[in-house]
Amino acid sequence: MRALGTFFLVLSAALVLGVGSALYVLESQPMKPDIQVGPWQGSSEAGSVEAGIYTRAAIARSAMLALTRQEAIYFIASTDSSGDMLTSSCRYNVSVEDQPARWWSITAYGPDYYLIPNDGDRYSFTKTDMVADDEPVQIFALAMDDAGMVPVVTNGVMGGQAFSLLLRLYHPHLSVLMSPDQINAPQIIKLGCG
Amino acid sequence: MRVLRLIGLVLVLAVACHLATIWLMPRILLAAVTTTMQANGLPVNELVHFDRRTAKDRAIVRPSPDLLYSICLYDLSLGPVHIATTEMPQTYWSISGYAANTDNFFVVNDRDAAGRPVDILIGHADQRSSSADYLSPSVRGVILLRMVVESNEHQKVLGQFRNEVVCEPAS
Repeated sequence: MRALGTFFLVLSAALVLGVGSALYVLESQPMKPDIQVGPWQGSSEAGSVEAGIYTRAAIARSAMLALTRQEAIYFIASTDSSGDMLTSSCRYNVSVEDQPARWWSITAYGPDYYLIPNDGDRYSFTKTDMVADDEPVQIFALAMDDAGMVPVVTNGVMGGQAFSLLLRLYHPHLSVLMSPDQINAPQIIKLGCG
Repeated sequence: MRVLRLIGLVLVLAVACHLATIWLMPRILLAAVTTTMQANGLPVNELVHFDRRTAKDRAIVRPSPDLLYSICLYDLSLGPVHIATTEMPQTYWSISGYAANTDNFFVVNDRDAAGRPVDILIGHADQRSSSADYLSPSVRGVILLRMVVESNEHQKVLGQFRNEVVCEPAS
């Protein structure tokens, strides 16, 4: 009887330690990044059949059904350009030049990795939203649902919740495939909080 | 001494549990998604079209709100699956296959198609169907059609194109 109790104790401890540490690793490194450009982190193995088990699990957890890097490269930012966590209590400017890809988008997600509810169903800023090709830099703010802004609060309610931005580059140029850490990634500048 | 042996045993088993959790994670997550979709009436080996994703959609994490998605849950247990399109629009679109472990084992996009219709056969790696264009490492998985939407008017046009795309058993 005592041996059986010891067996279950050992098994329970191993399960808690093993499963808990796995979930902690995936939560702390949601994309298993190997590319860093300012606040943006990416994985060169996303969607690849060569990806290791950690990368595969991390991608499935945070961006399921990702495409391979030849098709699309993904960068996630959970902090601003100063390294502070992105939070819906603050307002940010995101300055972005036309990205080296056939088409690109920047989308805001809540802490649950889903789109953030708002009355206008506005969730992203894309290459299509760039006003003109000869306008190299567009600035848009992430905060309340005002004109030209991508809201990261639910219908104007400031909840102070964390959020993240996902930059998708579809059909990235060869230069990106060769040196993804050399792209001129968007700057995320905090304007103020509260 | 016995306590040390037990601690060692816990650590060895914990490492095994850790690795098993990491290995199983993509399989469990995709199985959960496809099972939920089927429970909600999504058929197998048939392409189903979805509207642009909004905050109400909770099926797949980090969806793109700028794409039109169509999904075919494939099952190769009875043979290959056939995917065909008519001539597709000159915008970014792709048809990609994901195995049960979420590996992206094939992609065909508008550049590959070069304005021509797509006609491909997906087989299972064990069946070694000589006519299959792509082999899935698993019997079940997901085929995803993505189309970039540039405006509401564009969305209507794309909707007409994707209505012509089929995903069906080959025989």
